[in-house]
Amino acid sequence: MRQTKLFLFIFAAIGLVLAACSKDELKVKTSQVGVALTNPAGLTNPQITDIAVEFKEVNSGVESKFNLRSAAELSNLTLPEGSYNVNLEGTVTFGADNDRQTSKIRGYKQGIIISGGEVKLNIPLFLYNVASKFVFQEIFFTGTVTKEGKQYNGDKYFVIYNNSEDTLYADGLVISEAQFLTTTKRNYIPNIMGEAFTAGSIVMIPGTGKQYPILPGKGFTIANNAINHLEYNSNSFDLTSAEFELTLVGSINVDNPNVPDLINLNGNMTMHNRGFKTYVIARFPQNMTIDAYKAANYYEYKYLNSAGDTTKQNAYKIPNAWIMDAVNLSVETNYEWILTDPSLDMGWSYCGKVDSDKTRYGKAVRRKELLTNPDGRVVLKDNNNSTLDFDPEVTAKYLIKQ
Amino acid sequence: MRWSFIITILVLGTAVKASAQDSIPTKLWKEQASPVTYVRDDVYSNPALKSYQRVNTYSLIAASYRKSQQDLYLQQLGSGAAGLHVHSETYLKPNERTTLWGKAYYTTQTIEQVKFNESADYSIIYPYVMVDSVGGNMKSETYFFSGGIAQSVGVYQWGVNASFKGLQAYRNRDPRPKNISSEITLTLAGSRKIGQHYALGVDVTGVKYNQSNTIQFVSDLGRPLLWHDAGLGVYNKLLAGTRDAAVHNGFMVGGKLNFVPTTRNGFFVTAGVQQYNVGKKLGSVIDEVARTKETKVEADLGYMQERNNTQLIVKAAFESVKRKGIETKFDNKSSQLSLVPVSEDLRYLHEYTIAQVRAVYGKTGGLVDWFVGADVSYDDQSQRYVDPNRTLTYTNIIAGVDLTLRKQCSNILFSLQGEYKQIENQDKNKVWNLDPDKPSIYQMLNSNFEYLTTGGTYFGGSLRADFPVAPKVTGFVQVNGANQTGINKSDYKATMGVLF
Repeated sequence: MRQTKLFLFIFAAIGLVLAACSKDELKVKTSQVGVALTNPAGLTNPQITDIAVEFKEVNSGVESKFNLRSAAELSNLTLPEGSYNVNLEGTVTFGADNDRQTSKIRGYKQGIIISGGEVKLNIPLFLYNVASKFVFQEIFFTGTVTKEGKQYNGDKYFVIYNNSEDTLYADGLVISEAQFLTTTKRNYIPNIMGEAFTAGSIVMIPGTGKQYPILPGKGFTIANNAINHLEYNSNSFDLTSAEFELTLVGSINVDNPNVPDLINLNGNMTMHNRGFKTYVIARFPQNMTIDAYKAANYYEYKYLNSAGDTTKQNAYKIPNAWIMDAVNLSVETNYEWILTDPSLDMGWSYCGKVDSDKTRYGKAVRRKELLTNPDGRVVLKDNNNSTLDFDPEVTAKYLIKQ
Repeated sequence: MRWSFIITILVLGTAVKASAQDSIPTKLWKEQASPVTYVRDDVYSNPALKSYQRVNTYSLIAASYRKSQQDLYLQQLGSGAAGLHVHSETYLKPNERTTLWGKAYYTTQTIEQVKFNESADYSIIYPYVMVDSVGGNMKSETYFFSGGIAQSVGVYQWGVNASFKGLQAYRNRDPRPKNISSEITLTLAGSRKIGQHYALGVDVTGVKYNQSNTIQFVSDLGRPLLWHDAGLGVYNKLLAGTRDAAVHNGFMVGGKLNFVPTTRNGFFVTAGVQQYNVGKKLGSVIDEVARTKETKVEADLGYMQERNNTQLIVKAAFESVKRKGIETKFDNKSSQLSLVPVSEDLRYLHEYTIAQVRAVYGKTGGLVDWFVGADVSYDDQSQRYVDPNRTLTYTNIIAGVDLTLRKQCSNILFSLQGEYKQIENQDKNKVWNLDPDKPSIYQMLNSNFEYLTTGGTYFGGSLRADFPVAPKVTGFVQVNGANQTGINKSDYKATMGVLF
């Protein structure tokens, strides 16, 4: 009898434990999100329609896309909790009743935390109108590898393309590499990103103003060193055909006297070989001297460093209004932010998926072709979104030529 | 750690030598080489019931070399292993009231083709392992020693068991993981005799687990992508890249109830529950990035009989496990701050139920001793991940029979064992969307699924010879071989040792 009770006790214990083994529901927590839009200043009676909004959760990489007819439908969206980058495109109609105009409109915001029951967020919008101009066609910033397995850096280059239907002049064109890194997000004070680009190295194409005409649909190459790199590295290529070359720091600069050098306005442009920087093409206002530019665009900024102290530094800024094209570069695993106002570039491209990715060498980012005109002129895609406009990790064009 | 191991072996060996004279080699061999014993030992695993586990005291020191290889395999665990195992154990009864036992082993092996896992102790920390796209052979060394004591006080017994397991796993070429783990276990137990034939026992076990998991690359040109798996090939993109140091800290608490016969004749019932939680931290992130919470419920029910020259044991075992994977989502506000946690979700769930019935009947004393065994098991597995949604489920049934023959020829004791099993998949399902950007992960998932759901036929066998080497000291050699179709697995082992 006593043993029977013990058996019953043990079976009851088993039964209780088994009853506790209920099935769990796998469901991530969600929040209700209300999105308000801030229209660009100066628009009369704006009405936004045909909205495509994409929320990308940065932990999971999961994209939630909504296609909406009006801004009112943005007031109640359901999203999993997380940290998001938001990308919005739509159409805005504005103006007086008898003079309504239509334009494309965009918004971009990153680092939005959606957590808790209800979240309200505001996305500032900006108009965009893609005007044809000089654009980056290809940026080769990774360099190559020697047969001995060593990095080789002198063969980097830019290819700049006339994406318009007019002949443009390369004279005075400015190329700049960002002062900051797309992989290191900081709260720089004052924050000038909405009005200007913070430049690190700045170089300028020389010329009289009409010395270097570039025909529609044609491009030109700016090499680090415009030499035949095959003489030093059999895995590289010949860059003696480049139209221009940079003046690098003395230890790695090799001058080709037959190729014009760019003018260094600030520092030497070495091109970050892991692709953590942003590049812009700009043109200064007519008759602006280099000294006048520097005097008017000196930028002192500060930020809180990792030790908790304030670091003060300085750079030059390039007003957004002067910038023709911008390309943010990063790597997925280290990307933290873009270094331009979203109206210049709201995306980023890459070579390599991780910091120091050893598969990146010999690869470039190249702008996609949009269409070919009946006259044979290729128009490149330029929607101010490098994520969509560029093919990442393509073989550098000079390597293909071989 | 090597010295600790050697000292443990020496201490055990000395203790054993002093008491081994009480044992009778033939009886010992018969108990040691009986398939009934293997099943029965588990029933008496509670330290306060150890005194009923064996009739004969013994000590054993053995060394074995094992090599296994299979075509289909769980990528994270490798395609096979080759290595040396040195093993020592003892079971003593220095007086009527006291039982002592101890165990120590050292294993050095090379595990081949480990992919999608650069961490150690996969079964403890999965799915949160460090991963790169390269992988390769992994060397590992394991040290283990444990010991326990049980003592009776009237109808009561108390028992305690403590163990330490240390492991290091590494590779000497890129990628170069270096993983060091330790597992410390303490079990406290008590039992009470119930009548003349039964005892009721209870034990409580605590485990402290720790693993340091780092990886290095020495190539000048860079490194491949490093990420931290979250289950079924999913990983947190914010944590991927170059975060190459992780720490896993865990603890387990569990308890068991045992109702067992004290004479190895009668019914037995055991029931237990345990909770094993392991958290994962990365070197550059303050907060935990993930945590597993595993609840395990197990129960055994059976009957054993040892009468005259017959032995019988029938055991039905049930095990239900639920492992929850809880992940943190972060925000990268700025590089000045560590990642800031913004949300936490149960994203991964592995649930499985295993039910098994094993029966062995044997007769000794005739021309040959023989044992015939049969077993059938049901294995129902479900792994799920949410956002993105992925599922892997399957049900396998395994049924088998085995036969063991023992014969003494002159002063050599032979033991021949053969085993046949049929593995059949009853149900399987997989859901994961093809991700063209991650073809290797897709292939890994498919390969693992194929391995887990492939049926086949298993043949295994062993031959053991025991021979006298000194008064009351037996030497033995044993060879084992097994082959499984479907996954094309082969497994060979050669062992030599002494028993006294």
